[in-house]
Amino acid sequence: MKKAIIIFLGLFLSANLSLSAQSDYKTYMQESLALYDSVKTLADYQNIANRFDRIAKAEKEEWLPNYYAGLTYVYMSFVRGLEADKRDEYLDQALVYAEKAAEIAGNDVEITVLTGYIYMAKVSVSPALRGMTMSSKVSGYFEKALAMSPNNPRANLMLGRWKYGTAQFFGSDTAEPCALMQKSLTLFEAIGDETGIMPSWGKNQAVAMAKNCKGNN
Amino acid sequence: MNRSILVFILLTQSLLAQNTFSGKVLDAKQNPLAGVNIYLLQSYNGTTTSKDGTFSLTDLPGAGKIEISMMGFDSQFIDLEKTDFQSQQTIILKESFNTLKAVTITAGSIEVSDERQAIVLKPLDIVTTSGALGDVIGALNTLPGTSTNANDGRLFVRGGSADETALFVDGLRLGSAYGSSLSGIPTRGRFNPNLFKGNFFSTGAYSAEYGQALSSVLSLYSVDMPIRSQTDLSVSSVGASAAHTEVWENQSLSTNLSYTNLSPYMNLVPQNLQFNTAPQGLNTELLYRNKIGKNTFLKGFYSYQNSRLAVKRPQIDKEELESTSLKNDFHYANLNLKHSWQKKHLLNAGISYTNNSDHIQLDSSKIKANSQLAHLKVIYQYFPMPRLKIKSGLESIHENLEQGLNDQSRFFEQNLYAAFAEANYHFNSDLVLQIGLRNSFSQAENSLMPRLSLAYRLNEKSQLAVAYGDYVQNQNPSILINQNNLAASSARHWVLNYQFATKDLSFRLEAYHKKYDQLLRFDQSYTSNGEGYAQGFDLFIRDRKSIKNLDYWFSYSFIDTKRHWKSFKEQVQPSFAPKHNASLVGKYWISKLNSQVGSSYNINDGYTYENPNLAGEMESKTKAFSSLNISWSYLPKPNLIIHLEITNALGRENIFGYQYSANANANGSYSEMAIPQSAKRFIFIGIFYTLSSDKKANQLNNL
Repeated sequence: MKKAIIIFLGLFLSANLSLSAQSDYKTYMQESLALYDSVKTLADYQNIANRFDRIAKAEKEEWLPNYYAGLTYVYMSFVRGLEADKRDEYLDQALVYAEKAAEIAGNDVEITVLTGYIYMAKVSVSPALRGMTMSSKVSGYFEKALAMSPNNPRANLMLGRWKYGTAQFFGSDTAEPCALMQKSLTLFEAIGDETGIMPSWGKNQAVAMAKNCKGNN
Repeated sequence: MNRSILVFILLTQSLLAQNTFSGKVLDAKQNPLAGVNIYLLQSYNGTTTSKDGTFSLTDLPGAGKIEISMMGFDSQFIDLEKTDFQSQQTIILKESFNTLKAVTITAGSIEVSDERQAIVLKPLDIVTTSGALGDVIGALNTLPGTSTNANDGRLFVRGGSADETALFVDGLRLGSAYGSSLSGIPTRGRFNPNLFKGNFFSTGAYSAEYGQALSSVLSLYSVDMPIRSQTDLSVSSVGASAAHTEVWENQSLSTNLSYTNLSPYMNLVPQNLQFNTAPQGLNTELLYRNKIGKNTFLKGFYSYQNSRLAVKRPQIDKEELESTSLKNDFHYANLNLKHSWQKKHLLNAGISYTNNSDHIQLDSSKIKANSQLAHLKVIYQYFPMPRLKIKSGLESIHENLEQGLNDQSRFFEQNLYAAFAEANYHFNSDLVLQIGLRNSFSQAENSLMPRLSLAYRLNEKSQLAVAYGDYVQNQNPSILINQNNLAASSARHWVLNYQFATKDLSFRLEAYHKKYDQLLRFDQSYTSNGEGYAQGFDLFIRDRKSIKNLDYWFSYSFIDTKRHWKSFKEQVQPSFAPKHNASLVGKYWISKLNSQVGSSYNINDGYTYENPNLAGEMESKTKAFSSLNISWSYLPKPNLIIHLEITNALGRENIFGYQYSANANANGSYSEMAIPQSAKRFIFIGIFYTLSSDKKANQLNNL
């Protein structure tokens, strides 16, 4: 009897454990994503990045934790007051995660956008030194992403943002980038607010950029 | 019974999760580390250290492993079974060794690369240098250690002749590295700078990988995988060119076709020389890359070039002008395969082939020279740990030369073999040692050559380095074809270097001593029993922060050199190595005009020459050489550039030496004739247009 109970308990516990591992992944991802809403400091971002890093190490078949860890490091590089070297370190770390994500997921539009985003951030660290040499890389990734998925709102948004910046630098026409960002906003609105764990960031940026465009015209 | 189940459940649960692991994480200097990731392996259970480095990780089982990790530090693992959960843990993380942040070998070399923040030069700097006219070699001539010989155009490094610099493309020899030209008419580098992502220019004490170069090595690295397709078109005062890069999933092909013809220009702008055929030629380049799987990369490069020119020039002892014409055909092919495995091994195998033929008509004589060079090289690199790199390789060079004079012809060939091994070890992030050994053998030599470099970082921004090396170089085939038993020349280099570099300010001071042995001599017949030395120092300052939008560099080279060489009777200063050499290069961006204006100024204290009317050898010196070059690039649209460049804008009449009559005149003196520049100044205007789906791309790199 005792033995039976032990076996039963053992079975129950192990089944329970593996079951919880499956559903835990989504829950923990969602929990971590929710933390973005309350981010205030670099430490808050680091906390989120660490969470995704842990999930990534535990779930070797999932690309999303790596993707979000990378994205978080990009956000970290934008925190005010950081030295250029530190920003580069964060962005190099972001690239490591983006590469890991690509190893798992292959050619994915979201990872391609992220990679372009990382290089865009790298350019912003030192526009004078990197603008000329790295800008073709940035637009290359965003264009590639858009070709892979013409209706991806983030691909439209990021290419639009990049071209907008260029147009402003040269004082040229912003109609094309504004059209891209407007399309991105329409796409975001059509999707509505997502609650899943797939990438859904960018709507706020699209709204702000669309406003910029209207303000200029 | 019930109680025992309860006990069992409690016990299991306590085993599963109950313990708390808490404490503090510090770095090696006992400063608290914030943001450290501490977690139970194979679970989501983890935490991040707070500002003061403290942490507390709850719900831990009695067994398992904890990882403590942080960007830039070596991770630590803690076994829970051996952990005393009652006490506070103090964990010290060691900074991980990062090759990108560690000190590097800097003595003797100037690396042009985009990879590091604090770097002396970037690839783009090279091609936007005013006065260089888009030629890599022209830009390198503004760097420390070089002497500008504006009537020659080649690289002269630290008292060495132009032959003493070897050029490599992706690690493989480039034969006939400069465009063929006639003496007194400057030549250029062979290739479009746009094809290269960077270069490594060493002015002394270079690694064991390189041989057959007494003074210097210039290694060009071609662009790996471009991101997207692009078409570039340009029209200029001297020709037109079209280039296209096509990118596929794992392959890409870059093509370049350019045609140069200076005759319309020379009809407009008067020249010092009388050209019967203005310099003209065709230049084609193909660069193919293929990424095969994850770990294999194949690169192929091919270039065909032809050119011709004809001049009529006065000669001191001749009534009528001497007419010379030159026709050149050049082929270069290079195939390179890289394969890596287990992230620890890298195999690199390559072969290059150069075929250069010159047809020269000198008055009524026909001179023909055809030279071929094949280079086969295999390198194996092993990275057992991040701080240790081991490189070893084998190479063989075959070169031959066929010379013809009217109906006669003669032939020479030689084989050279070499093996080398080198280890690069970082004792820590601040100290690196590189030891190499090269063994080369051919008919003319069999030498074992040690190479040594040591670099020590004094603080975050500055470092000291020393380097030493032995070098040999066989005599040039054009000499050996006369006499094939000449021993190779040798050189020994010592270099001491101090460097201070931040993102926008660098300062570099380098002192060197070079001893030459077995230099080529000519005294009725050829021998190789000459000798010589070169010593001095170089200074380089690059500043792009003091004045907004202005980027400038200054270099000064002091060269004290003498050599018993060729037909010199004793050790004297050769003509190509002025004692004081300086250049100042500036670039200023005017955003209101969407323009970059640039300027460069080269100066030296004059070239030595021998005046038979005076006692001594190479006792005279020309007046100082100087040249002010200016350029203006206007970008009305991101993909359109209009570029104007004027070399020697002030029109200074520089003299490079004198020709003397073979016989004394009635007064007993030898009459002289100055060797001038081929033209007072050179004016270039060009329009560069880029087509790509991204309209921002442009051809700044082409200028």
